[in-house]
Amino acid sequence: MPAFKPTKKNQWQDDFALLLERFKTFDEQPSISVGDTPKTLIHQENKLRLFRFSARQVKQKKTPVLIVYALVNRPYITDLDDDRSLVLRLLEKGHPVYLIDWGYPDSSDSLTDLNDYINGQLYRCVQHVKRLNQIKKIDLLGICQGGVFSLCYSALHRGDIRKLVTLVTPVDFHTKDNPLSLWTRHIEPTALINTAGNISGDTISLLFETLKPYQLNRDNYRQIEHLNKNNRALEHFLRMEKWLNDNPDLAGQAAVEFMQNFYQQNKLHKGQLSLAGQAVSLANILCPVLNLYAKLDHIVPPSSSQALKQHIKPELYQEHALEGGHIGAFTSLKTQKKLINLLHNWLS
Amino acid sequence: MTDDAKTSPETIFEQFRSIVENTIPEQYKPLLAHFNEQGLFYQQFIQSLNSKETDLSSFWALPNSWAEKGPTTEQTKDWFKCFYTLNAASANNEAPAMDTLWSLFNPSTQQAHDSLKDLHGAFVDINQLHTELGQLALLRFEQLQQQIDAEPTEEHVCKHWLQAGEETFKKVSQTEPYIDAQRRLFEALNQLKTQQQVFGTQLSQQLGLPSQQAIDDLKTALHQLRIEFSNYKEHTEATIHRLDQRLKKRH
Repeated sequence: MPAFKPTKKNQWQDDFALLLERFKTFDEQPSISVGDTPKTLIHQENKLRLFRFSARQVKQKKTPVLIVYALVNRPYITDLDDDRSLVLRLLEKGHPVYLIDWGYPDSSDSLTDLNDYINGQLYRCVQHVKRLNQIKKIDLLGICQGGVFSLCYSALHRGDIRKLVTLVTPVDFHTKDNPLSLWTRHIEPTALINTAGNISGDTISLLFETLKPYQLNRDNYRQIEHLNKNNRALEHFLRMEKWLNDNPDLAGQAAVEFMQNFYQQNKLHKGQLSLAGQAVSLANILCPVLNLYAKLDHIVPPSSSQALKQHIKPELYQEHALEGGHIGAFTSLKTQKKLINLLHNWLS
Repeated sequence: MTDDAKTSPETIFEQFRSIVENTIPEQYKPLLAHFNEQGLFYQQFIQSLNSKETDLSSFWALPNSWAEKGPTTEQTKDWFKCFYTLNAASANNEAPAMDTLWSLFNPSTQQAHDSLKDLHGAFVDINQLHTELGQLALLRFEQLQQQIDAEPTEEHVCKHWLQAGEETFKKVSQTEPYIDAQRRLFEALNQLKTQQQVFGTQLSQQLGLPSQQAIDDLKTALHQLRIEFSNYKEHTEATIHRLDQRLKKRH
C-alpha cells in the first residue's frame, strides 16, 4: 500500500471547533423552522390534515395541484425552506397548491388499510379540493409512495383527475437494482409490527439508512467545512436532519399490505392489484401522465419508475430524468429550475 | 494558547463537553454528539493507517444498521423484557403467586427458548457475514489506494474508505446467505412476538385485565366508526355543495 501522506493539521478538528462556536449562538435563536409557506387548514379527519397554500400575487391557474406525499416521513420536505420549496415554486408560477399531511398514526390507526387511504382519505381530499375550486377535475402530484397512491387513485377515479404527475415513484418493484425490494421480499411483514400494531418510524428509518450505511451514517457527518462557511448551508443541513429524524409510525395494516402487494408480489406492475375488491389497472389511467425520476435514486431506481411507460398510452405519457437522488431530485437547488419548468410547462 | 493546543483532541473533547452540557439547545445535542462520534472514527482510522496497523477491517463494521439492530431496539426490548426479566424474576422468587405465574409461562418457555436459539443463530451468521464484509472492504480499500498515482491524501483515504464500504456492502447484502440470515432473524423475532402475545393473553386473564381480543374489537369498532363518520361528513358536505350550486343557478 502506498505510504499515507498525513496533513500537518487536523482539518476536521478545526472545522468541528468552529462548528461548536456556531452552535453556541443557537440558544439565543428560535429553533430551525420548516414548512413556513403560509397555508390554511381546509379539511381534517382523524390524523389527516389538508392544507391550501396562500396564493402569490400572480395570475392564477384554474386547476389546482394536490400534492400527495408518502406515508413514510413528513410532507414538509416539499416546503423545507424558501430556497428549496417545491410548493413555493409552484405558487410563484400561479398554481393553486394543496397538500395532504397524513399525520402521525397511533395504535388506534393500526387497522387503517390501503383502501382507507386511497379510496377513503385521498378520495375525500380530492372532493374537497374540487368543491373549493368549483371544478370537476384537479391535478395530482404524487411523490414516492404518494405517487403509487396517486396512480391507484387515477386508475380508479378517472373522472376526478385532469393531469397526473408522478415524482420518484416506484411501479415495478422487482427490478434488479432494487436492494430495498430484495431485502423486504423475504421478510414476513408482520414481524415488523410493534406492540401498538404499527411499524415504527424508527424501523423504517433504519431500513433506509442501511441502503447506504457508510455514507448516511458516517460520511455525511465528516464533511463539515461547508457548514461553517455558509449560514444557509448549515440551516439547510439542520432542516434536513430534522426531517430525517421525524418519522411517523406506519399504520400496521396499510404497511403490511404495501409490503405484500407491492414489494413482495409486485401486483401493481403485474396488473393484479385490487382494493376492496376493485381491480386497479394502470391501463385505466386515461389522463396525461408526467413521470419524473431521479438518475441517482437508490430507494426508487430509475428502472422501477420507468416501468410506468409500459402501462400508459404513449400519447398520454411523458417521462424525464432529474439529476440527483430520491430527495435531491426535488429539493436540490441544482435540479429545482429544471423540475419547476417541466412541471409548469406540462401542467399549463 | 497556541493553535495546536486549541485543536488538540483533549481540548476539542473538553470544548465539546462544556458547550454541549451548558449552552447547546437540547434538540442539537444528539446531532453534535453524532458529529463528534464520526469525527473521532475518521481520526482513529487515519491514525491506525498511519501507524501501519495490519487489520483495519473493523473500520467497516456496519454503523447503525438494520441487521445490527433488528426491527427496532424498542420492539426487541419489549420482547426481551418479557422473556428475560420476568422469567428471571420468577426463578428467584418462591412466592406462590409467582409460582403460579411461572407455571403459566412454562408451556411457552421451550418455544421461547427455541426461538431465542434461532435468533442467536441468525445473529451469529449475520455477524460472520459482517466480519467477511469488513475483510473484503479492506481488500477493496487497498486496491483503491494503490490505483492512484500520487501519494494518497486524507481526503483520498476517506473517499476510498467510503467507496470500498458501500461497494462491498452492496455485493454482500444481496447474496443468498445474507438474505437468508436476515429472513431467519425476522422469523425468529416474529416467533418470539407470537409467544409474547400468548403470554400477554395469559397474564391479562390472570390479572383480570381486558384481553387483547377485547382491545382489538374496540379498535375495530373505532376504526369503523371513523370511516362511517368521515363518509357521512363527506356525503353531507357534497349534498350541501350541490344544493348551494343549484340555488346559485336559480338566482
